[in-house]
Amino acid sequence: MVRTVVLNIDNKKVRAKEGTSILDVARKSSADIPTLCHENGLDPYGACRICSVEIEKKGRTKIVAACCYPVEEGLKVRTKSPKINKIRKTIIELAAISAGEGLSGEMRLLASKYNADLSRFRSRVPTESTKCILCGLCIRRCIEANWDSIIGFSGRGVNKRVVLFPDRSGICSICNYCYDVCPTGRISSIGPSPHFPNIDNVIAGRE
Amino acid sequence: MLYKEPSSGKIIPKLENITFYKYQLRLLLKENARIDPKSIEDYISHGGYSALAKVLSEMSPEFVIKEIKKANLRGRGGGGFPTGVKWETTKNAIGDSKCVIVNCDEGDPGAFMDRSLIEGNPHKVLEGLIIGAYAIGADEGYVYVREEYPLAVENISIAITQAEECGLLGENILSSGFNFRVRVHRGAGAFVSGESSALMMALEGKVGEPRPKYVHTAVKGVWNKPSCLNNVETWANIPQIILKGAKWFRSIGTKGSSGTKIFSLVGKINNTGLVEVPMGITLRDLIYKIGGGIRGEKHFKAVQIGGPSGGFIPEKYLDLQVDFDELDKVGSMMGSGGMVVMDEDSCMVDAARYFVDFLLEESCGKCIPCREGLRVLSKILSDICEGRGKDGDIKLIEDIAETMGEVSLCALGKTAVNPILTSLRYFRSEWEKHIRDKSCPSKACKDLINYYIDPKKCQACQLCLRECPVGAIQGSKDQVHWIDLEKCIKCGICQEICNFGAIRKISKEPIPKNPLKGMKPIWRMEN
Amino acid sequence: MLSIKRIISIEDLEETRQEIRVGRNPNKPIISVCMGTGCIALGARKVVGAFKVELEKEGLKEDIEIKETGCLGSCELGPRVIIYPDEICYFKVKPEDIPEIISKIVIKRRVVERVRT
Repeated sequence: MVRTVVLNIDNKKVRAKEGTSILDVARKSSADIPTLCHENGLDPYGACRICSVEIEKKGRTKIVAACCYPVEEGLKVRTKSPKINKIRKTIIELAAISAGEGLSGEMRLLASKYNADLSRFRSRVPTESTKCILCGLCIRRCIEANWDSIIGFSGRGVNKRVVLFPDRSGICSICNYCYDVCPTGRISSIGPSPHFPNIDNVIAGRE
Repeated sequence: MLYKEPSSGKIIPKLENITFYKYQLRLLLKENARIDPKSIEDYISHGGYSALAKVLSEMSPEFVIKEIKKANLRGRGGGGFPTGVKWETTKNAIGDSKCVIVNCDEGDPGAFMDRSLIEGNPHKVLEGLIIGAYAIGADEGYVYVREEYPLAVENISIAITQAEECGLLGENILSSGFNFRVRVHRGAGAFVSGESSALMMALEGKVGEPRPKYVHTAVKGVWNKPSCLNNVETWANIPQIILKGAKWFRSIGTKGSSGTKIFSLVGKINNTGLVEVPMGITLRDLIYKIGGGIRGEKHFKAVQIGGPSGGFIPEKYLDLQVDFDELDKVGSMMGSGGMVVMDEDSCMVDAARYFVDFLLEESCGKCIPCREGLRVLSKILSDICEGRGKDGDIKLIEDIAETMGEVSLCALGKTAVNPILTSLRYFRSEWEKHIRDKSCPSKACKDLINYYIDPKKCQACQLCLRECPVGAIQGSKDQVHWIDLEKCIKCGICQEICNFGAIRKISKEPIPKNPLKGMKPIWRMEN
Repeated sequence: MLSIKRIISIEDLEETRQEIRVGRNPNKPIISVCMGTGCIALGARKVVGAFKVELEKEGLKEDIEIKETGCLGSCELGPRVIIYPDEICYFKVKPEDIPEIISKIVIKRRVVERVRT
């Protein structure tokens, strides 16, 4: 038996099923929380951190990712504040380091909404633009569509990239779901640009 | 061969009198020299498995948990979370099958406490694990050992096999009806896999990356089963708490932190190694009494505690009593117990840079703040150490630190900024000198220093001239030597081998002119 | 292969413990050589080998036990050897030191005064 709980989002009382994420509850009650790595129907991933909100529980405040935090009775949530907005702006500016400045889609909208200076950190660490923020949406959507994925992550830390598994590329039905979910415009209707490198080449150091 | 006290030169033959060991309280480590880790007979002859016998014959699972809670044992892996509470949460979680895990990933650079415990006395850790499994109601156990510890893997595997052959593991242990089996899992070379949720992903055969932990792993862990993960040292404490009681354990240490802690005391001190001390010992006692003081004629500058997630502690806190809460107050963290002592030759900016570079390599890369934050912090710190620091760099660092500290996915990202923030807090002037003056007060940052031969002290012996790997030193037996700064690679060999102390490092001072051609060494001129 | 039998009950455990203890002479000299990773890296295996050879040579195999033990933590001073029951410690031990240790300490129970740092 899932019970209903009463919580407070931006000073508004809200009822929800216990265990639903703050993000899902907030969106239903029209509070606006930005996301980059979230997609309805896919399990929350918690990688972009831009959905971070302030919560107060038993008198203690902390910041959590709204997409993963389950609601509880008496929870107080603040979806925006000067501190949160500053953090969201910084996250976008950090993401721009490797993603680059010529972005489209959700990234571009959020960059403009939070007045992000996309060159703030990028100018300090000049790297090739990959147009990728490693949100994993393309991979997760592909797995969900095909029960197996044609693309995946390879590498750790700053060497992490989305790569193509050549032995599975035959499964690709050009459903274009990856294009639908990509928040930066790296994947267009005619495929990713730049191309996802072949995993064998990446491991061998050729790409 | 026999031990010689570094400061007094006194010879001390007996173990109990050697200053390094004398001031320790070696509850966990003392048997390591008496027991063959590959022999269960040795362990049993020294009282081994009597705690397990006591638990299975006299104590209910609830009573065991109550005792561990009363003892106030806190996690020795770094978090300091009350062990009894974690056990209780796991016990109360819903699930038919539960597991207990030993975390022997020990990734902090320079830390080897868990290695010595599990290599030297694997049965003690195993006994603690079996007792915990009984208390929690777990039927499965895992020992996760990092890839780089093959001897630890060997010894714990042998211990498990021996315990199984004896009937101390498996079905109906000691006729109590309790069943429990343990498996060893080897790591794959990643620091981040020591994080509890990442470790559990690795146990499931997936990539060892952390996941959001708002539902504790004690409730949903490996394969979504309630899983209780504790550090090696935490498990090793259990048998003695059972045998001697919670009250005894609480009598050691401080109010907030009971028992002993093993630290890996290294750096610029005379006696280095593992030290097991009661919580609440002062840093001064650790460094001067046990560590034997600072090496050579140097002075204490700072001690780094807690590895990449810890912080630097300056001289003014030398009388700090080391325990979980006191360290938190000064911005540091107990961590797994690494303690690096630094003297005036250590650069606090370079030291912060070391930890950032380490974490940059080890970050899993999943979340934006940690992956990109470390990337840009590493670049800024390199710039500062190499003379390219800019005004506004410190503000940039502080902004990034706020974001990383608040919203990173896991503790690696959240605590990654502790070394930088404590270094800034207590040694800000060093940072400002690096950025504004392009100078390194400790004379450690290679790009900001130069080597200089003092013509008044040089004896023209030609030793440095011959040893210089790039032929940067000019001179002859009648010509005082000087260094061609264009060629110098700042390896420091000349300073090391000069028998007259004629070579020193200078930073940002105006570089004196080369000695005049034909200038002879002073002592010869005087003669 | 274990020398102890399967332990079925708590009484069994205590019995086994007593059996093991009774079979050990507390006054028998034990040479404890650290075989932790640090000491192995500094040559502990050769030290153990040298002890075995020397004890065999002097006919002392039955009188003195060599035990390969765990790490006490002062790895900088390895290989580390402790002679029980007197608890005399030797550090940075080399195979060449063994005959001296055995002849002077174990047989004559005298402490070697030579120090090497």
